[in-house]
Amino acid sequence: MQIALSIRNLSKEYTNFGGSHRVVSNLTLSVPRGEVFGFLGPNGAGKTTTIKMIVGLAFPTRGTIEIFGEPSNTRTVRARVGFMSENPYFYSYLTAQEFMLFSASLLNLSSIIAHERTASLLNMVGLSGAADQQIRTFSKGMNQRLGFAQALLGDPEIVFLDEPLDGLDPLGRVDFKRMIQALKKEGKTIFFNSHILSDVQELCDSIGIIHKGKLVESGPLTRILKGRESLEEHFIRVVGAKK
Amino acid sequence: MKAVIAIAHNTFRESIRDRLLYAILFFGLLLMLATIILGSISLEQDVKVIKDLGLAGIFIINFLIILSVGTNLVSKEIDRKSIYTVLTKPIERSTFIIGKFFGLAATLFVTTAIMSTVFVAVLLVKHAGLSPLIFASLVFTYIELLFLVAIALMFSSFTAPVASALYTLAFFLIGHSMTSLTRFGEQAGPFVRGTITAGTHLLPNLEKFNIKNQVVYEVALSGPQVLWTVVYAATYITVLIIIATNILKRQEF
Amino acid sequence: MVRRATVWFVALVIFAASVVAQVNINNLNTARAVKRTAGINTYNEPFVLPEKVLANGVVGFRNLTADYYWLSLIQYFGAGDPFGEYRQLPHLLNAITALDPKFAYPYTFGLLILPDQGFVDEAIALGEKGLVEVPHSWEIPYYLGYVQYRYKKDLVKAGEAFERSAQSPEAPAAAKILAGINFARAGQRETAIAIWKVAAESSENEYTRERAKEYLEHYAIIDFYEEQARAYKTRYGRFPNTLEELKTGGLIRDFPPDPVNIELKIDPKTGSVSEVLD
Repeated sequence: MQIALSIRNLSKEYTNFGGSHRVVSNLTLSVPRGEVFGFLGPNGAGKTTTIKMIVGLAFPTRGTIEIFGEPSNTRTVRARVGFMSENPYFYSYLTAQEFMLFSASLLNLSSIIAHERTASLLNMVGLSGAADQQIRTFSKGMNQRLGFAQALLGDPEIVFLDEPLDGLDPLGRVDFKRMIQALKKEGKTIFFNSHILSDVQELCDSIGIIHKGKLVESGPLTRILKGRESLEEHFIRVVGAKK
Repeated sequence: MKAVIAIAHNTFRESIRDRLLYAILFFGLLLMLATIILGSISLEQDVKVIKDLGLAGIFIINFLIILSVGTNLVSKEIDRKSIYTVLTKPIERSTFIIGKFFGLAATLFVTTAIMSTVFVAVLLVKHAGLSPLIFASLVFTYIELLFLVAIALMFSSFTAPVASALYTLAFFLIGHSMTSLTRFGEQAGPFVRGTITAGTHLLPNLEKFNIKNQVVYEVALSGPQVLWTVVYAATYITVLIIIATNILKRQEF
Repeated sequence: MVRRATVWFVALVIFAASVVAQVNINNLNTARAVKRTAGINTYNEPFVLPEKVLANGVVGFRNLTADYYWLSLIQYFGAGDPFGEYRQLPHLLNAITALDPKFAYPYTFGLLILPDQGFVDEAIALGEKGLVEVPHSWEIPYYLGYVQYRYKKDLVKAGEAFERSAQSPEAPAAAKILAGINFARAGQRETAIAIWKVAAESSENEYTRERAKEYLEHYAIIDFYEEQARAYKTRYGRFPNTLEELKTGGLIRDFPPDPVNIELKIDPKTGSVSEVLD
């Protein structure tokens, strides 16, 4: 079994005038290729900081992050990674199509491939009709869909999604879950943050629970739940006990 | 290279779709036309007034664009998190900065060209005669604008828009006070004089690009003057971009 | 659609009402302004920053600031001044020429305007600055010569200035006549007329030409008074004691308006008319 993501002893401290403040503490976990991994935790637990360090938006204070055996901060690795941020927001005066083509040129895709993928991804996320609409007219859900399409533009082997299901209406959530399942079928590795536990239980092969910057538990979902309780009951029991 | 062009193109496209740009440009065009009216009440000094006001107006309007759009270049992207999408792609952070620089440079090229066209038209209507110096001055104005873009970009990569607008304005004022500073230094003691001399050599000296006076009185430019000015701008802008890149490389989001 | 048209119509009516209101406000203001005399307290003199501040303060926009002061000077001069003299004129002209020393016309303008406002030395200083900054101009030394001659009575300096003017490659042929005049011998009025004739015909600037014509008219009026004074003598056996007597004596109905506005006096012994400042 090949390891897609491997995090070892990862810590992140922010120093300001008052002293240092540890957001992520000695985190170690790995995600096998082809799995859907759910990264759970209450608000402020360090989920987003971890994902930012993985995709290179923040820098670890200590520890290493490897993707497919290579350090995560190299350009070759970033070409194989897709990322969708929490509440994504894009260039408001561009149309969805222009934004996709712009992202494609950052990925150094040829014009033909860029146009093909833009059309098919916008179609997949249900934005074909809004392709020529400026992004500033988009609803939150539409932004979310565009963010998802953009993350898949480079045909990445591993996709990081920060709160992908947050703020979507029920139909949107169904759509997103279907799309994530489709990606898994294509053999892609998916790492996502969430605090909507029922969705995680539905989608994930394995999970990690982070609380106050520390990894509390991680492993295959079936092993963690042992078939006896729901993820929600388990989460409350594990995180609640620590409070 | 492709990514630089993509970011530059995107910056250009964003800024020319911004309504603020059109509001500023509209005032610029009004100003160009106002030169005719002001020229007509100047006791036949209209050609001078039109040239002075036209050249200064083109600069001021574009400087306003830099202060409003340029100082937002990076900070707005950080604010709106649109930078996440860009920096997580397989590109260097320097690519982002260079692309931003050329994007705004392209926007300013268009606005300068539009205003210059009106300016030249006004001069033609007034039978003022077009000396090559006018075009030289427009080119020098544009180079100074590029200089200020680089300064704004550098500040924008680590401070909020309002702060970077103020810093850019401060640099503009210092950059045009070099002659006064030197004069002040001549009267001071050796230590202060040395500090001021060092300062005038290290800080951006924007007076080098100000040939508006030469234009009005038809004093020809010399080859070395042009050459050294271009070399000065190119090297200084490069250094500013390197600084901006290094600041952005340390930034976390 | 009907409702939308109605809304637009109502908006238009309201807008028309606002225009009417605005016009009424303007009318009220004009009505009030008639009653108000321009007193010293309500008068706005142009404010000129000290030259030192201007030299260091208007970074990058020196020409533009000079133009601004130039335009304010034009607005200022001729609009009426409750102080009786345009006392900011020398400051304005100094500021303009300090900011933009190559700007030629303000020197000429100052030489034409300042002496009659009582600023003779200021005019000469300005003219001398102009000689250095705009060396090719024929007009600056020309009017400087006039000021030296007319207000300072310095015939040597006047001669030098006219000489310099004549040597300028841009000088019109007529200007060279002045360089040849023997000021000590020539009549004062004839010289002044000669000076203004050149200016009226050859100046590049319309305002200067107009100003020169006004001076020529002024001297024509002096000639006219002297002619009438001689007629007065034929009628009454003596010259009038004052110009007023020309009117009371029935020789002239009204004083012709003098565009230069310099007070004149008559010598009861010779009947010659001259300017009071002489």
